[in-house]
Amino acid sequence: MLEREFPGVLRAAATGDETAFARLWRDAHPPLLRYLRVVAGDAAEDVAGEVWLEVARRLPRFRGGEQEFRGWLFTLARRRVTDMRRYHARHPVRLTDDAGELDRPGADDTAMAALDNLSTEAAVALIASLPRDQAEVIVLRVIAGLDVGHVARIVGKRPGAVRVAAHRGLRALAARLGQRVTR
Amino acid sequence: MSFLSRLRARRYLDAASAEALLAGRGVPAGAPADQRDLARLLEIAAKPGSEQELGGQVAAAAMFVQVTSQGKPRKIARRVLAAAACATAVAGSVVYASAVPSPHHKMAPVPFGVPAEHHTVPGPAVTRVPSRQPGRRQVHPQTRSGHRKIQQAMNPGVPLRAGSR
Repeated sequence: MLEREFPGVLRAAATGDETAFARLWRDAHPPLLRYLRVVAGDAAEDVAGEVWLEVARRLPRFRGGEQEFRGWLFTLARRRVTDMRRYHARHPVRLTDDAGELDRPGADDTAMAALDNLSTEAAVALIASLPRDQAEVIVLRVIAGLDVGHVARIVGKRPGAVRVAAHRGLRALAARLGQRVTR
Repeated sequence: MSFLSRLRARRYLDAASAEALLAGRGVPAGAPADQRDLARLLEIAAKPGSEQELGGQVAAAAMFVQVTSQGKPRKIARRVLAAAACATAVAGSVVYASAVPSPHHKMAPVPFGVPAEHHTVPGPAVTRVPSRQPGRRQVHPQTRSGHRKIQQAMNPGVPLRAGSR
């Protein structure tokens, strides 16, 4: 998050400043990509490119702070994924296969040692192994850094439902990690 | 996932602890091991972007430049067209105003060159037909008397030559 710098960076990018746009992109692209890996699988890169193209076209008309910008960015991403799913209804999106590997604990490693060696991609894949609604809200809260209200608007649910889905997802993740410890 | 694992997770991970994890505030020092592991997992998932993830920055910047440069020429062209349209409308109204003849005059072709002050030979084309005023006879340029009257009107200080037409 750019926080205090965000208003100035946004203003400059909206007037066509390439450097300012690059800052927005560097700050928001990794979370966007990880979110899309959870909800769009192998199509994450392609969808991310389309999202940024739409952002570049509509940026001069955007009004809002950093949370609103991220909310807008991820809303665009979700719509793209929905359109893609409808178009490819006959070909389901495949999630990454790393989650299966993680579920099987190693013979001698402790949970912390395994976690220390865990890559970001593998951590995201573990979250992606949850039911889709739980995985999506956890990624939007934790990785995208959005609050409950913005997440609720993006996924089209009430804030209470978003909290319930996120808490269930965390409990499921904790239980899986607890299983790794006890074995 | 076993029943005991789910029970343990539900017992230790209450709503407040879950919200703290989701907000990135971590867990307190004495938290159970699975909660600490969960906090670590979320921390890894939310790490800053890797080189691989940021590898497309140059392409993204090039895309941005292309998109923003496509927008500018259209704006400039629109302004130029609008200015040209206004200028044409103004110029057109001026030309129209100067070109519309008085209802008392008839339009006639203008001959080449500037007529000399004392030329006596009538020009090949009709230059101007005097306006018809109420109560006066119209002067016809083809008659001798008509020509003389026109010549006198055009060149008041030049005496007419004898025999001139």
